[in-house]
Amino acid sequence: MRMHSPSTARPESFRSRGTAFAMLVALTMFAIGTARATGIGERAPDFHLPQLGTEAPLSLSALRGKVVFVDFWASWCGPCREAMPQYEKLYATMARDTFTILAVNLDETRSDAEKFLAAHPVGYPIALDPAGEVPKAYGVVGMPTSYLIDRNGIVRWRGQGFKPADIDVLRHEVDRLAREPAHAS
Amino acid sequence: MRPDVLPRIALALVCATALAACATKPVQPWERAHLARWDMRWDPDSVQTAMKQHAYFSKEGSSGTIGAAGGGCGCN
Amino acid sequence: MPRPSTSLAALLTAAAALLPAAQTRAADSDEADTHASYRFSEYDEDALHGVVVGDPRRYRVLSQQLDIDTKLDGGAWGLKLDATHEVMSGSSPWYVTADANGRPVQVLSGATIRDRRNALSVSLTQNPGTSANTTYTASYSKENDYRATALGIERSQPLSAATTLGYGGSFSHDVIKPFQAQDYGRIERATKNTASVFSSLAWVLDRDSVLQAGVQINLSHGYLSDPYKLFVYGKFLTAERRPDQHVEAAGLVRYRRAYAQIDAALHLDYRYAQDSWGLTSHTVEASWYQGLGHGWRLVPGLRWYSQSAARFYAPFLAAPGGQRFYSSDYRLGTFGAFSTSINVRKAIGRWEFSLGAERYHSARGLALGGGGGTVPALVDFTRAWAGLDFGFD
Repeated sequence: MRMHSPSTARPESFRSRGTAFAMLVALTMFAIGTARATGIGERAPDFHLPQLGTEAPLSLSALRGKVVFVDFWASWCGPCREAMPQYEKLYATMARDTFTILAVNLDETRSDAEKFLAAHPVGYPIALDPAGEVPKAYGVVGMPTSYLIDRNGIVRWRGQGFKPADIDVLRHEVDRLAREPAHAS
Repeated sequence: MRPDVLPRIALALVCATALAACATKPVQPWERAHLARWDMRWDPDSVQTAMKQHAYFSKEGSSGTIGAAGGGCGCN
Repeated sequence: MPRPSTSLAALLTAAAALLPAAQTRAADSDEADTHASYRFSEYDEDALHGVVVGDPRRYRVLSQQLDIDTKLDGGAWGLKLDATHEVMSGSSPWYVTADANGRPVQVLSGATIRDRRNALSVSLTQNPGTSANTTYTASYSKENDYRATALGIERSQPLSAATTLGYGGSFSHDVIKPFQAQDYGRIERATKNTASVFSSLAWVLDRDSVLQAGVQINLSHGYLSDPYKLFVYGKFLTAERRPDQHVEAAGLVRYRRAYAQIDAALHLDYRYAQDSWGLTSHTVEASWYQGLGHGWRLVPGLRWYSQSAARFYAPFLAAPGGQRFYSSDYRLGTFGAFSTSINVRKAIGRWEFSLGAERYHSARGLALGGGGGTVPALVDFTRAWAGLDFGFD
């Protein structure tokens, strides 16, 4: 029996290295352009939508003068489900005369939203937009996406995805924005 | 078939699918209820997959999936 | 198997970050901060049939895996810990010799191998709740005769609403210290290093389907032979010998389609790999996820694998012709394999239970084009597992 001795042979040729590289390049080339999103400092597009649980429709412009947190969500979206109870806690601890949350539900089937809300009830209003007209106007690129709109209807904060630490940031921002003056428009 | 023909076929396939993807109407983020299903993940049960890939890796000349290199073993 | 390896397999999980949407979990546990998965599995190889010398009973592995996934720093980071403990026993193919008629006879290791493996992998993901995130992974795996340490990084980044780019790299350093090295003339200590780079693109095709295409290149350098395997080279019985460099390139295409009306989804995967040892392989996998109501789910799966032999594979060499490299390891021969699996799952609130089994059969005739020369010792195995997943705060 013979011991193994380290090979001094040169590495064998590898024909497909060039092809593999070409594949990599081809893959990365097929990126498509990005969507136009409502940015910070821009006026938040107004909307009028039916509301879950009441006959009265909801509109953003009717809330002018308050700081408004708009959350786009759907019951099938994991992080949205995680975020809702946290937003409810925030809503419960803030003054109602200067701040509100407006959740825009994007479920195509209303009963899906109702089923989730039955298990995780929230006190803030839920607007229904099964056709997705409002997120289109806002250029929402991922779920969940949320906007903090100041007393004058200007977007001041935008969040995509959700993490529990966002709540503290939001609380701080809302306090700050609520102290700003509201211009008569 | 010469061995280096196959990667070229794969390359053509990738390019074709990429072009096809560009041609379709974009699906909006709020239209992804079906895509968000648990069973639509690339890998719904990653713990089980790790064990499964390990069995294949140990018994086959080449295996694994993108993202996992063969950090070898002296597997019998 | 199951001498696991693969520290780097932990990186697999990061591919889950290439989500086309903010996905939900199987159990109703999206609101939970921490998720845990436990798996117990048994891997059993069939006894070898045909012409065999030695104990024909082959490998058996009992594995336990615990995976914990939690959030740190208010959700800014995701932490994932994977611990694996395995006990392996059995004998394994040693070398191939010729009988009086010149037909190959597999000789198995006389003594039963007993070993344990413990492995731990830690991953940190930055911004786990968003589609643009980075995962850092470190892992360590230890057996009595084998140690592997690996580091990896993977980034996922949306290029548009419908396209997600993923890319990353990893590095593994492995140390081999064979048992009874002096008694059997084995190498006493050897190392190898493996570096990998990979890239993938995922597309949302329509409301019901997604496609992913990826490429990967693995480069290995060092001691790449199996220290336990011998080779009949003319009149000599010698340690097998493989090149000390290995380059592998692979391409992968994955397709997922939802059939929400019937609560089902189709998974199709194809992988092609080619390496510098002359080995090429094709893997096709299909599985069907069928919801049955009340939290029940049934997942049947099929897999076909085919590989062509490495240039230096031969069962034995009766009349040596000055070959530099030679191995009779069946894993380098031409063969194909077919496997079927079934998985039953039941979600109850934040809990999910699962049971599964797989049957794997390999044969020369299952290879693309019907296979080449004789490859003794091809393996058939059965795997069975039971698992539990749950979420808690």
